[in-house]
Amino acid sequence: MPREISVGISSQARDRLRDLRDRVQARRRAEEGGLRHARLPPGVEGLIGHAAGMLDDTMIAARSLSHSLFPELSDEHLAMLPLDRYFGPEGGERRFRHDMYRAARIAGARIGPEAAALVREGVLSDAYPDTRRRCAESIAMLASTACEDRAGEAARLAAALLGTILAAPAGAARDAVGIRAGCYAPGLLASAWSSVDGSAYEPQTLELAMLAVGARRERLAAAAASGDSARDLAAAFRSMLLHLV
Amino acid sequence: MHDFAAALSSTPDLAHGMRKLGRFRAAFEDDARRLGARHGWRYDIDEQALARMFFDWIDAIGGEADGARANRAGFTLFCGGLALAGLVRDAPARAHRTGAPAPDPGREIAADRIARFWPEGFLYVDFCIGVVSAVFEQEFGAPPPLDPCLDDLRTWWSFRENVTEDPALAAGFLDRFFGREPDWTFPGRLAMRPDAAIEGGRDTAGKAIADD
Repeated sequence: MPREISVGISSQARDRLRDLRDRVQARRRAEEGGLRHARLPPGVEGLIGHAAGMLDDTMIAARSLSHSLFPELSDEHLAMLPLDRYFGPEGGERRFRHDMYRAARIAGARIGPEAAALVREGVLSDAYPDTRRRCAESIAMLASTACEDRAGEAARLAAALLGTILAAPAGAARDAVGIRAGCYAPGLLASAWSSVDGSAYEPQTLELAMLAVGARRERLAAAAASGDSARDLAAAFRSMLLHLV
Repeated sequence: MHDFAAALSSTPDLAHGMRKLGRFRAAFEDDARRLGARHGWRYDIDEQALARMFFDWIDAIGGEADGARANRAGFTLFCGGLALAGLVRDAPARAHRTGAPAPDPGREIAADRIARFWPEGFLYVDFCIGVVSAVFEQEFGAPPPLDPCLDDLRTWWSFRENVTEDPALAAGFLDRFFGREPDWTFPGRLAMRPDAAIEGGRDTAGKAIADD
């Protein structure tokens, strides 16, 4: 339990730092474009600049450290696991959080800067234990070679994760559900795809998953808002999986 | 149109393969490259529009899947028609002139004229005819014959004018290009097709595939 709490808190702290960094970078871009915020006193202006520099350095150092420890987990070398492997007996919460966050950022960047800003690592931390508890049967079925409906089970697992993620407050308007689905669903779909066909992840997997989700984003948002979101999201994921695998 | 269909027909189980986004996309891009090189065009593909068209097409043919049991050949043509309607509607290609096509005495002059008239429509029709022909080649041993109206620029004037107004009519035009009688009233309904009344027993190969 202490470890779970610390994971959640650290994920949220990273989300806040990223928010701060994004705002500082946006402010710098605005200043470079000649839009100065004249109301701040010169001392405060300097202090913010100094804080921004320290924050940038810290984030860059943390990112470099992360890449040196897990080089395969960078954006360029994202190597997603089959969805059920994240829930294997050896545990994979950290890897799940890392891979899905990266995939969501990549998908969000494809949609636009506003979408990428909606991606939160914290919701992934929350969704993982919740889904492990609620989808134990699907996880066990996917781990078994005797599973006859791998697409159905992988779809249920992906649907439970996305449903929990989208149910988390995002501090955004309701119409942002479709955009958030567009960010998080491709990684889940790509990973579910590997669970179904058993092949190793390739960059093209996420590429095709982004296209599939992009084509069905409104449908995913409608399913998430329906009275039986678990069933409707699972049907949407299953349909996409059947025409990807 | 023939080299694309010939290349496709070597793809195992093409009828099912075309219902996978990855293969569908790769085939479309391959045809765009081949056709563009031959007629002096470069096609930019909007991947997201193509994916949207693909999933809408999958939904549309899924609603009519029972028809595959009764008449496999008719169902294949029908799926091609729906694909053409979807491509016209979502317009995933943008053509850019790259210069005069390379001299090739064997190349069809009529096709160059048609490509100049509507390069995007030319690609959509070429793709659908290529896929339908390759599926026929695999499943029935020979592609369906093409109608001479396909080389007539006046047919293409009519085609462009009509489908710009109502993209669903593209399915009827594909039937015409294959020399079939189109249903202009309900082009998106398999049951309304003139050849839909063929009894199940006459198309045993189709039944076996539909039961997959």
